[in-house]
Amino acid sequence: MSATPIRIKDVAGRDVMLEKVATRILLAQGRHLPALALIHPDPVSIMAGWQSDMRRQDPATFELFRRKFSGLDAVPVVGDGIPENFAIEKALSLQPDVAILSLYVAGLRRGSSSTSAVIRKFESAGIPVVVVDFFANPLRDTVPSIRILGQILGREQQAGNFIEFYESHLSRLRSTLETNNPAKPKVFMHAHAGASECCYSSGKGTFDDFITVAGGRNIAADAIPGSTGQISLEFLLANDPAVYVATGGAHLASGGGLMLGTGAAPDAAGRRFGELLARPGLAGLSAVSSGRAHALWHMFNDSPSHIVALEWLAKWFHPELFRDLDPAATMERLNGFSAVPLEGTYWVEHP
Amino acid sequence: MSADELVISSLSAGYPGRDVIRAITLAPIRSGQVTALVGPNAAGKSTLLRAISGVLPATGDVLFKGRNLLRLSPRSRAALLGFMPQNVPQGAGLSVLEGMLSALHVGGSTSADPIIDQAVRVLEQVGIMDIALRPFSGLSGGQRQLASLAQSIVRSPPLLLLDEPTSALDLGHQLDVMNLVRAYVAKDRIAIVVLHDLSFAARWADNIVVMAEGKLQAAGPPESAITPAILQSVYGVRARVERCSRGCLQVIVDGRVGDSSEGA
Amino acid sequence: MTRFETTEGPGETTRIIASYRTLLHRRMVLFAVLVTALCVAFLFDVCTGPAALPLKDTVSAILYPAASPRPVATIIWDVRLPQSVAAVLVGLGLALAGAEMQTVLNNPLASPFTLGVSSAAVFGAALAIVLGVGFPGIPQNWLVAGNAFLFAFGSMLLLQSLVRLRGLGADALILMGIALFFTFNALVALLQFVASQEALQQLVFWTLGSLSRADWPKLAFVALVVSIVIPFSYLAAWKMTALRLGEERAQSMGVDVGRLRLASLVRISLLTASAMALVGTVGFVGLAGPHIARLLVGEDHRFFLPGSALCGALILTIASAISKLAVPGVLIPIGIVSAAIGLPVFLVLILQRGRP
Repeated sequence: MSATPIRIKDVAGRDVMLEKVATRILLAQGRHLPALALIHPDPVSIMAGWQSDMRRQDPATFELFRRKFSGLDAVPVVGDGIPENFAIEKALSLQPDVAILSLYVAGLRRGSSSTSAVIRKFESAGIPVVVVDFFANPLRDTVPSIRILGQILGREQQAGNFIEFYESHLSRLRSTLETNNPAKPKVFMHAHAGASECCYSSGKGTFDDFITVAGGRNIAADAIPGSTGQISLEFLLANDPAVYVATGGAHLASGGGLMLGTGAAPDAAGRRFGELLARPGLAGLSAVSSGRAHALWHMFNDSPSHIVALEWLAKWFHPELFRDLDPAATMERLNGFSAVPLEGTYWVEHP
Repeated sequence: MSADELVISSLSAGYPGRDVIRAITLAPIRSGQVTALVGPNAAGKSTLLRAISGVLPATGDVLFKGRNLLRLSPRSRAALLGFMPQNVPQGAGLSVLEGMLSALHVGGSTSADPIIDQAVRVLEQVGIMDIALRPFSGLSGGQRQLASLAQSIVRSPPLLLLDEPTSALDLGHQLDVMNLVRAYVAKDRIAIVVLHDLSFAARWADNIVVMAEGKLQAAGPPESAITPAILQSVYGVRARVERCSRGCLQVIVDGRVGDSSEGA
Repeated sequence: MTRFETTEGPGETTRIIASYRTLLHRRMVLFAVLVTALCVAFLFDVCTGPAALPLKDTVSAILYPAASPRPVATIIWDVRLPQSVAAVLVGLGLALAGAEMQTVLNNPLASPFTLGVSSAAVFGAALAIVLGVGFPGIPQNWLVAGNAFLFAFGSMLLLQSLVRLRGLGADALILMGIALFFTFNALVALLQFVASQEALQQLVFWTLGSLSRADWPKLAFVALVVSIVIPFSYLAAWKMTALRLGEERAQSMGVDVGRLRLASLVRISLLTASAMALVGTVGFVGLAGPHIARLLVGEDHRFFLPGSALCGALILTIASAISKLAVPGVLIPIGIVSAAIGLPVFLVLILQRGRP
C-alpha cells in the first residue's frame, strides 16, 4: 500500500488530491454501488455512509446486495438522493476519507460550474470530494469514472480490466456501424412504460445517446424541449417508428407497468410486456405488429452495465448486421467482474 | 371681515364621474357660532363635510385663516380642523386612550403639556374617563360616539366638523354633547354639525343650512331657514313651525304633501 | 353646570395615567420575555442537528472556531448557524410584513403573500430552475434567489403603480393581488410542463421552503434589507395605529393614507421578496406572528410591529428545531413545519372571530 498522494482529475474537471488510498468512502449517489462492486470484492466494507436512492429506486438489486453483504443495513444513511434533502451535517460528522458524488448530487447538472455549495462545505471541513458520473453523459464519462474509482480504492488493476472489456465491446459496435453505415431506423423509447398515460420519453440525454450510438434515430429528441418529456400518442402513431423500445423496472410493479430488473421472472415480464403492447394505441404501431417491439431495464441508465443495453439496442436496430452479437453473453461476462452478479430479467426480446 | 371666517365657494365633490354636491357656495360662517347642516337623506350633507375635511377629493375653494383647505396636505389640514365621521371608530383592539394618543401624535399638538395629559383632559371633558382604558370592541355605540367626539376635539382645532354626533346617544348625553359644542365655539371657533332632528337643530344652532339633492336650499337663522314653505319643498311634507318657550322652534309634521287632510 | 363638569377630581386623572404607565411597563416586560425566549430558542436550534454534538463542543465552536476540529467548525459555521440565523431573519421579516399588511389592508387574515407576491417569486425561481433564465449580471449561484427577489419585488411595484394611477383602495388592491396570484400560478404551471424531471423536482422542493439554502452572503443581503426597512417601519408606527381607527378618521387626523399605504407596500415587498429569495415559500408565519403579538401587546403599533417581528422570529426558530428533530436524520422542509404549527393557530383564530 503506497503512501504517495493520489492525484485525480474528476469528471467535473476538478483537480483533487488524496493523501492515500481511501478506506472509508461516502457514496453520495447510492446507485453507484454496483459500479463499485465491479472493481472491489467487498465495497460495503469501505462505505462510511451513503444515500438511500438505490434502496428506494431499485429495491430488488438492493436486496441482492444486502444478502451478500449483511453489513449494508448498518451503513449510515445521509439522504434520499434528492439534493435538497442531503443531510450535509450528518455526512460531515461521519468523517470519511473521501466523498464520491455524482454530477446530480453535487448540483453540477448544468455542467457550467465545477463547484457548488455542497462541494464547498465538504472541502471546508477538510474532506476531499471526487465527482464521478454514469448518468449525464455515460459514453463520455463511464471510462474515466471507473478509472478514478480504481485510483481512489487502490484497485487500478481491476479497473483497467473492466475498462478493457467495456472499450472492446463498445469499439466493436462503433466500428461495425461505421464500416457498414446502415440507414438509421426511426426509434421510439417509451420510458417507464405503463406507469402513466402514453408516452413518456427521453429527449436529449442518456437514452438518446444510447440510441444514437447503437445506430438509431430517436424520434422524440426533436420534440421534447428538455431531457425528458411527454409525447402524445398521436405524434407516436403519426411518426410510426420502425423500432419500439419500452423501459421498465421494479418501481413499476405496483402500477401495472413493465416489470423488469433484478428478481423479475422472464415469463412474468414477457406477459406484462404483452399486456402493455395490447393497449389501444400501442397496438396500432407497425413496430408492434412486425415484431420489432422490445423492452429494456431502465436502470441501465446509471451504470456501466449499459454496455449490455447498447448491444441489445444495436441488435434490435440492425438485426442482420449484428446477427452474431450475443448481449446475453456480454451480461454473463459483466457479472463475472462483479462481486454481486445481477440475477433477473433485464430485457425482453419479444413479448 | 375677521380672519376667522369659513368661506365655501363653488365646492363640488362626489365620486368619479358623478358629483354629489355641485358648486355649493355659502355665506361666510363666522367663528363663535354653531352652524347646523340639515336636509333629507342623500342631500349631500356628509359629502360636504367630507369634502371640507379632505377625506373626499373636491374642487372649489374653502378659505379659512387665509388658506384654501382643499390645497393643503393632510398634516397641515389636520392642524386646522377636527372631523368626526358618521361611522363610529373601529380599531377594536385599541383602547379609547390609545385612540386619543394616536390623534395627538399624528396630527401634532399645539399645547406644550405632555400628550397624555392633554388626552386625559379631553376624556374628562367629554365625560368618558371611566372607559379610558377599555378597547373599542368593548364599548356600546353611544360610548364609541363619545370617544369619536373626543378624538376630533383633542387637538383643539379652530374648525370642527361633526357628522351626526348625537345619533347613538340618549337624551341626557345629547344635551351634554351640544353643551360641549357650544362651549367649544365660544372660544372663537367654528362648528358645523350635521343633524337630523330639525327642532334639535333649531334649539342648538345659531345658523341653519338646508340642503337637498346636492344643492343649497336655504340658509340663515333658524326662524328664517325652517319655514313651512321650505319644509314642503325640501321634505315634501305639510308641517307647522311653532315657537315654544325660551325661544326654541317646534316642527310638527301633519302629513305628506298630497294626502287628504287628517285632523286639524 | 353640565354633567360633564367632573365630579372626579385630579385623582382620577392620575389613576388613569398610572394605569396606562403600568400597561406600558407590562408590555416592555413582555418584550424582554420574548427577546429572552428568542435567544434561548436560537441557542437550542443551533445545538440541534443530526451530528449530535455536545453543548460544550457547540459553544466552543461558536466562540473559538479556529481551535475546534474542522468538521465540527464546518458543521456549526457552515450548516447550523446559517440555518438558525435564517430562521430568525425570515421569521422576523415575514411577520413584520404581515403585521403591516394586516393594518394597511384592514384585514386580519392578510399575510405577506396575500397580494400574489409569493406566486411571483415562485415564477422567478421557476424561470431560473427550468430555463436557466435570469437577469444579466447575476452570478450563477444567485440566479434562483435573484430571480425570486426581483420578480416578487417587481410584482409589488406593479401593484403600487396601479394604486397610484387609479387610486385603488384596500379592497381593489386585494382583488388585483388575487389576479396576479392566478396569473403567475398559470405561468408556473406552464414552466412545469416543459421542465425536465430534475428541474421539476428542484422546483417543487424550492416551493416547499428550506432554511438549508442559506449561506452567509445571502444572509448578509437579507439582514441589510431588514435593517433598512425596520427604522422606516417604526417611524410610521403612530400613523398605522391611527389607521386602525378607520381610514377617514386617520386621513382627517393628518395621515396621508394613500402615501402611507404605498410606502408600506414597498416595505412589505422588500421584506417578503428577500425572505422568499433566501428560503422559498414559508407560510403562516406572516399570519400567525402578528396575531399572537396582537394578543400579547395590543394594537399600539410601537409595540405591535416589533412584537410581531419577535413572535415571527420565535415561531420560525422553534419550527427550525422541530424540522430537525421530528424525524431523526431527515430535515423536514420548513414550509411544512410552519404550516403544521400555524394551521391550528390559524383555525383557532378564525373560530374565535365567530364568537360575538
